[in-house]
Amino acid sequence: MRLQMTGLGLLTLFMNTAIAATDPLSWSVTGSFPARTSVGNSYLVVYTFTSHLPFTMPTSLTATVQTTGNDFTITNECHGQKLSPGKSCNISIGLNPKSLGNKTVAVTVKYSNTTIAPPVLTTTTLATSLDSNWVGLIGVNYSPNHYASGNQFNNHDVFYTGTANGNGVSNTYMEMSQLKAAGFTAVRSYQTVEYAWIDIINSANALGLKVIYEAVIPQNGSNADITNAVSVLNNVISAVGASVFSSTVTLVFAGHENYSNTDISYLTSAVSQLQSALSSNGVGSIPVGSALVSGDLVTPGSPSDMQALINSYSASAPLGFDPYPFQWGVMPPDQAVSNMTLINSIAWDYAKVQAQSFYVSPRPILMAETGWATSGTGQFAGYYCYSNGGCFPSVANAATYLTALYKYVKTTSNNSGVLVFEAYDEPAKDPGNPTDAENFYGVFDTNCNLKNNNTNLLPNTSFSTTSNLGCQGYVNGALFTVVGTQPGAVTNQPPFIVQVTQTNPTTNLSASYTVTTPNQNRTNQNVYPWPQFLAFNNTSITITGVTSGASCSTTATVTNQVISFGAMSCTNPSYPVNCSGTVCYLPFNNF
Amino acid sequence: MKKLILLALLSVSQCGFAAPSLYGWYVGGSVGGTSPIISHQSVVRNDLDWPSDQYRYHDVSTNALLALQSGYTWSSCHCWFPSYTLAASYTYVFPSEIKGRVRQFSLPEFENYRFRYNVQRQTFLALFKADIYRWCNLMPFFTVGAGFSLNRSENYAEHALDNVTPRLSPRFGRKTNASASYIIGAGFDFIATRNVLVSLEYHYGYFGHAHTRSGDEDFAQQKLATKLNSNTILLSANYYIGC
Repeated sequence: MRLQMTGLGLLTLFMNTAIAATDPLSWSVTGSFPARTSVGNSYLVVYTFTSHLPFTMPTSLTATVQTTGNDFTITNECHGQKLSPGKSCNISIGLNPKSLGNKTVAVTVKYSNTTIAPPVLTTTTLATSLDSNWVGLIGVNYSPNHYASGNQFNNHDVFYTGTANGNGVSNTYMEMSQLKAAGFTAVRSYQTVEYAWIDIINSANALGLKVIYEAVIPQNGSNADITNAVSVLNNVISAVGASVFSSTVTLVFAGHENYSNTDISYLTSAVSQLQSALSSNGVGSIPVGSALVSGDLVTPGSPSDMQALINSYSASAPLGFDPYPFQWGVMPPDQAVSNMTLINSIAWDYAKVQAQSFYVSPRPILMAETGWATSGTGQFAGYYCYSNGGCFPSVANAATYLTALYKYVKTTSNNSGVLVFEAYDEPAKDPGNPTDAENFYGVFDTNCNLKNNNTNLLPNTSFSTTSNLGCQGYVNGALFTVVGTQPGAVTNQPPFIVQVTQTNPTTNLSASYTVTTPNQNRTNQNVYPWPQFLAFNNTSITITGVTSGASCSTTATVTNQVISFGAMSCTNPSYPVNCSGTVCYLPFNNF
Repeated sequence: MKKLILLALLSVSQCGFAAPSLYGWYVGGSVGGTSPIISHQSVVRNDLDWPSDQYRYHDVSTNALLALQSGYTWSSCHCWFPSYTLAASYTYVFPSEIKGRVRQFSLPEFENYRFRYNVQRQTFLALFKADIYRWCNLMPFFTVGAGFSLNRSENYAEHALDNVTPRLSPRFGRKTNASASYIIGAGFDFIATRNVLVSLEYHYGYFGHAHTRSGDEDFAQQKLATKLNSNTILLSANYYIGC
């Protein structure tokens, strides 16, 4: 067939205006690599290719990504695909610059004989100074009340349990000692009262650990909550002293996972008031920030709220969030950390946060919580993974995840730190549903046993499970307290010494200790309660008054965590100590 | 009446010419314009089981041409068929730009790329021309010719329409191919001087096919092809040697 061109031109013009050109395989891109990138930032670009063909592709796509440099992570889901009509595939390219200089990415996709190539991405990586206080930090979330629901230990966070370096020490000391040996350098605790904070900070200070202090700022709370949190903070600083507080506490969180779209002013006020409290106590250099659920930063509903909140943070405070790839069902566990192109992985979360308008490089981003449940189901906590492909709890998966996580954090260019969730299982979180995965995030179980003795759960894979026992065997003991009885005892009780001689029946190691309790103003029992002591079966207890020099001794038996005192033998009948129930009452007469 | 019939017979057999007939060897040159007629489309096959692409030609430019010829003319004093010429000619046609659009997979919604390339032709023909009648110095003629053409295709380029992603060009390459050719035409000769014959000619020609070289990589087995026909107007001047 031949056509005279002069006539065809008009016909063609008509046809061209009637039919819009369409890509058989269209593409779109989300994210970008800015012209100037920096070490410490992550960048994510996702190409989506969509078939507009009216038939399924007869042959597969050939999709390639060519890059310069080794700083890219690429997931190519398009290569080898035969897209059916309307279907899409993604090519995800992550950039975590570790080296300086120019970098390029070129994507090409071939279908049939046609090869399309979106514009080549280019960027130049510049040097950045990162904050070593946060970059590479590997800490752990630690709650002292990690025992089974109903266990008496959960009712009192601190009790004396043994001896270290010649001094009687508490459960928090023993547990944090175990955590330090495991390779953690900082602990974050939460939802605890003054006396527990005081003990945690003092113990951490003695152990050379750092503490992330978390004020109780509940979601949608009131100014009264802030006032109360400030009061607690003041009490804690006053008790441990500004020097110990400032050398041990490296960050104050104004609550946790407490943002809602109606409480931003309240949150910024909380940050501001906590900053003022620190300043007035002479520790104003400690930064104040907060920690958010991951979605608040990764896919913010209100970037302006996040901007306002971050603006309220201290300049040296990291952004804190709680990413949980486990709860999204991201697999495999190591890729759930490092594969930036894997949605809801840690690296993906970082790239998404760093792409937000409120993020200013090179602010470090701290994972205030992240972990991998070792057992249980996501049903009760409503995890996404429960109804979308499954959750994959196991010790092995947790170990793989955490090993990758430690590597990720140690890679300076990731500009990250982490507080692993968590040190010990907390079966009391959801006692009504014992199989709730929320109960199984510990790297140690509730009794301080390293799960499966798998040291890959820990930053220190050389951790000795036989030398660092933490709270092992404690649940075979029971608590007793010693209380003053003289008028005004809450302020005038003379110092007294409690000497406990015993063996931990589980470890067969000495659990003896001698503790001198000084005179304290115990008006506020949240700050200075009467001390609690752990006793095992057949323990020998001697209580001595420092002022009187008199002492009383007894033995106690413990069965099923119920303590029973034997007959008391006192050196001076004028200073009797009477033990009954779980309490030993000091003499009323200036003991 | 008899006188008129006699005059008519005389005019058939012999005319009284104002100028002498031109005969013998001559050389000449022509200038003109040609309007190519090309194929509607070229089909380029895709990978296995994919529908082919259509390269739909929408436009081709009209171009100038130059021609040289030399031959021999036999003349007579008759008014009818006063002369016959045999000649050889060489024609150079300046490149024509062929434009069109690529319809991917032969689907109208995927008419996505504009393309263009050039076709340049050189034609060698043996010509026969017969003047039909001489009226004073003006002689209508018809001509036919046969020979071959060297058709060169080159300079393929394409670009995407709006909202369409550019693709890697097939880069169909330059190629010259020879094709049998013929023309058939008609015109008028005018005896300008005792040595010069001026002609105005139209002819329709067939010049075979023009092929590109195969494309790069994914188009290594594919090429663009079109038939070449044309309508041509020529203005010629022939110089007779020794008249």
